[in-house]
Amino acid sequence: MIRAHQPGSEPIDIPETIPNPVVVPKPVPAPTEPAPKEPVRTPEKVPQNVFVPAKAGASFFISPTHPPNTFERRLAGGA
Amino acid sequence: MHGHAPAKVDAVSLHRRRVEHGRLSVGLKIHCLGDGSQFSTLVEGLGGAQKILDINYYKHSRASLCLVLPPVGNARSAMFLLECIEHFIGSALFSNPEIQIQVCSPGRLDARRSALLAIGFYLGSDTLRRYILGDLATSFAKNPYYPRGRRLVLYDAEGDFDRNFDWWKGSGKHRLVEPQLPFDNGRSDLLTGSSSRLDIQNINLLATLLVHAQYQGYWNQLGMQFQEEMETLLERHILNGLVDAPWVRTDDPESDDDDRFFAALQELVAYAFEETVRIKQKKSHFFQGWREIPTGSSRGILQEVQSLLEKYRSELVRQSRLLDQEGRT
Repeated sequence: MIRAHQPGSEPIDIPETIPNPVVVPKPVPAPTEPAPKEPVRTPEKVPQNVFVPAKAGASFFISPTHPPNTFERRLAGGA
Repeated sequence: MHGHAPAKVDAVSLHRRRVEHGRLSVGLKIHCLGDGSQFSTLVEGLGGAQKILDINYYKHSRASLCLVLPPVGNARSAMFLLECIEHFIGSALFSNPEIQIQVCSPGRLDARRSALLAIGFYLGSDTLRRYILGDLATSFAKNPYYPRGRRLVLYDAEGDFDRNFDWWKGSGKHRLVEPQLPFDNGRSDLLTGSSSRLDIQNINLLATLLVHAQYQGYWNQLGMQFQEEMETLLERHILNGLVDAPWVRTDDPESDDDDRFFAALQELVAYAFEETVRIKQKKSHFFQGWREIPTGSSRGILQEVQSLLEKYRSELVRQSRLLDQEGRT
């Protein structure tokens, strides 16, 4: 606040800032959710000897790193 | 900082380098006029005062500290970055009289364009400010090597400069995107004082138009057109003489006249404040049912500058989107 004063008159306070009367405030859109994490690129390992209760044809649940056991062969190939 | 504002921190991390519509990158400096205690945890977390504050000799003459933030590719990220810090320190940075924000744009503008940057910022801001010359004093005001004077617009002191932001060049349908800015270390900074989000957006727009006009960037033509319109606007209000004042301290010894600059700034401030009185009277007449508005009267400099900024903001985005559409087909 700037104080203007002349001898013989009451001092008046002059504001240092005033709102610009022609500016209409516009809200800036803000992100509300954290950004999605990067997709996992390496397939998750499935422990061996774990039975996956899935229908035949859903063999992508089985880790490709180990040979299928009897159970899995049966599920995948219907044998 | 992620724990305090995860969405904003992620947004800044993801889009930090992203240049939007060919606008310039944005740097920020925070001058704290208080004791700066609210920043102590942040400063410690960043490596301590010795590492991030003491090496920076430059600051506002009344500031206890000046925090230099890493530049970002767009105004939105700059605002989010400030908001992240607000959340972390638990204290306001925008519109806080104890916090003075300096907005840095790459490229040194010549004297005339620096004047237009400062005048455009002042009239386009959501706050009209009165100044005393001391408000604009920094530790470099009388520096023997980099004397910057007491001005709204300040050149860099040839310090660190991050060039790794896209620069658009070419014209019309031929847009070339360079991965680096065409400047080694030149900057034009604006001491906004207590600042708002709109100020950052406006300065980014103004600097983009003026820098592209000066350095033949992609927005060269739009920038030249803006410059012409802005000068015509000032002429209409008989303020065109203001542009000749030394709004920035350049290498020209004649620009070393703080008083001549300040007289021009005072004239601009007085004109803007008078305009607010006229607007208030007009509003009050309207509510009283008076309809005597002088014919042929201008809409007023404040309204005209708002319209001008809005026009160029939209035009720049429109042309940029058109380019993207053509690129896809």
